[in-house]
Amino acid sequence: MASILIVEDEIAIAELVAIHAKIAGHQASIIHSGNDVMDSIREKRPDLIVLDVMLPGQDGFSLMRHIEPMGIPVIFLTAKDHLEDKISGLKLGADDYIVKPFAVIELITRIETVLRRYKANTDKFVLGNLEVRLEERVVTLNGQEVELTHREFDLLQILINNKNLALSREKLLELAWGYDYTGDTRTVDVHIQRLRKKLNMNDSIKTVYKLGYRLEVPR
Amino acid sequence: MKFWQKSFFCIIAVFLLGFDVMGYILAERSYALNRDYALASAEMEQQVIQKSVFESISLSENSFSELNPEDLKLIISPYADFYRDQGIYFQLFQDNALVFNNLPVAYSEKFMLLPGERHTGIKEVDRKLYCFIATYLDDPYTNLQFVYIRDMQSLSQFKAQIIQTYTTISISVSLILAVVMLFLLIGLTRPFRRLNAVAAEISMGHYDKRVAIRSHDEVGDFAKSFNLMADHIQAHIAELSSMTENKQRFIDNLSHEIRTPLTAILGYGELLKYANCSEAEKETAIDHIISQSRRIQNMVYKLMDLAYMGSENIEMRSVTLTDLLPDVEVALSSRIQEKHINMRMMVQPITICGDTELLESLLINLLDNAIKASNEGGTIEIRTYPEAGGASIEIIDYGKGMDETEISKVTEPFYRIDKSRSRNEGGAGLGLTLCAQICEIHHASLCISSEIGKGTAVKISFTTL
Repeated sequence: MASILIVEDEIAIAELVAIHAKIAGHQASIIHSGNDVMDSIREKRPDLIVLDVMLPGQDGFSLMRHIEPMGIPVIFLTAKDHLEDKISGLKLGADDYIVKPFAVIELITRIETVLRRYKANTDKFVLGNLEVRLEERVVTLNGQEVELTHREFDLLQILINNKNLALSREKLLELAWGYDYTGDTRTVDVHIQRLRKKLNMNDSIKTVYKLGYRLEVPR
Repeated sequence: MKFWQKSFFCIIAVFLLGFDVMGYILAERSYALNRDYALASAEMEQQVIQKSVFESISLSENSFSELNPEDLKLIISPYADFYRDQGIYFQLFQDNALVFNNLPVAYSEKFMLLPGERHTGIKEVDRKLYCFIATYLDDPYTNLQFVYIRDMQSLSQFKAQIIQTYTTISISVSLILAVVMLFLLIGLTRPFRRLNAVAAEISMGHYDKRVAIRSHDEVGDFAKSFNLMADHIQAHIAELSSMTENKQRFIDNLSHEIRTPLTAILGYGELLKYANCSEAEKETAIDHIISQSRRIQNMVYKLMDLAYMGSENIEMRSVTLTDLLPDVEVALSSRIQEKHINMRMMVQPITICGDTELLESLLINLLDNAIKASNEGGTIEIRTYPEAGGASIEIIDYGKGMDETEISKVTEPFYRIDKSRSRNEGGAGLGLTLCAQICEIHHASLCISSEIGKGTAVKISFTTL
């Protein structure tokens, strides 16, 4: 669990990001004005900042100059999709740059990636008796190590990264097997069945009608 | 080839041709005169000598019974010796036989003549010019043909001299002319090169360049016209680029304004579909989807109004502005009640020429702004009154107000005073842009006066009654 500070003047967007961060198991707080950002950072010491570029008060680029020396990862969120804006954002030391309109899954994935890079996220996932050590690729159930194939582990990791979000079979196939895999989505069903059986996850890996699968984790 | 080079070569060529043709004619003429004079004097001399020779022969005939070639030779020899130094030679034919010839080159010619006839001619022998004058002697020696030969070398030398002198003059005059022409032509064509350089600069996009030529000739006139043209182009380009800039800014802003609600709607939609969220989260998501959709709707309506005004098919009719006010109030009644706003109307009926829907939209936008600016329980005044040359409507609030720099920007598309508040209330940032456009179409003036903390007064003065 990481603490994420969302700096965004659009309430709708700020809350959207916050809800998703919470679903992914993080703590989120929201600030609407650029002028309150530095105080809030000093007070809350967030692990990651999602920073809008166009803000009332100080804008995102000028805030970045103050944040950069503190070593807190920043993901820019902006409606400016000109290449020079992107470059100047990344040059200032931002870890990523995401342009509106964006799919929230994309933002969450990027947040996870940045957090992992900074090791702010524990690379251990615990659910009941199940423990997954993501870095070592080791899975234990009731203290006993369970053998998983590469593909099964990849699939499990994707479900963990997107916990509480439903993923379609196509999306899972694309993420775990790669774009160029020509297999059937039935492959996904087969692997999900094996995971459920091996890890006793019949209750936590839910089949979402007409959509796909979702790993449900108590929040 | 450059114009000045062409002119240079043309003029030099015409000059050389004219000068040389003239020179040739003059040389020929002077040579001919000289030759005629030389021939005439030679003829005279020949006559004198012939007469002398005739007399010598007739004298000697008395002493010699018969004319034999040896005697004739003896008679003519003293003449020949005497005249040889002057370049004059003789030939004497008796019947068809050559009796005497002292020409230094081996050449003799007997001419076919009638008695009393004279042959005069110039002939080149062994690369030298000689003048041949031949006659038969007078009776009784008509069987003797006397040929007078004169060396004409001086004549041909004269011709060569004329040609040489003329060539020298022609070349030196041509050279002087060439140098003078070169300077003249380069000088005369300099304005054109300057014009060309400026035109090239302008074509590269430096529209502020002008030609500095102030002569009072055709070039000066041309430069003036050219500068005038450049002025027009510069003005036109500036207008075009500011128009494009405005359009680009509008499009940039519009895309930014649309992206945000779209992102929110998409994100909340996905959230509802994929996440197992709580009831409270669902509620929030749906609220945001509705409010953001409304925001887009609002924006689309205003954009459509703007587009409608751009289409210029608006019908102007007589409208009693004061009749529109109740409808406007009804349209915003829920907002007025929500904020407990006290509406104060000071209305005198006024009628203007305009489009009912646009005027209604104008009033709704202005009243909406006044409500947004007002504090809870505030007062909004609406006044209408006739004025000299028209009629006015004023909408006055006693709310937040704004400063000078903001007043100048409020009619720009997507400009907001309180960015986040306005957007979260569903504002498109186009309200006053729309108002300004509506006023323009009605030839009305929109005047905003405001003070921070005291409120804002918007006055629209209609001139078309």
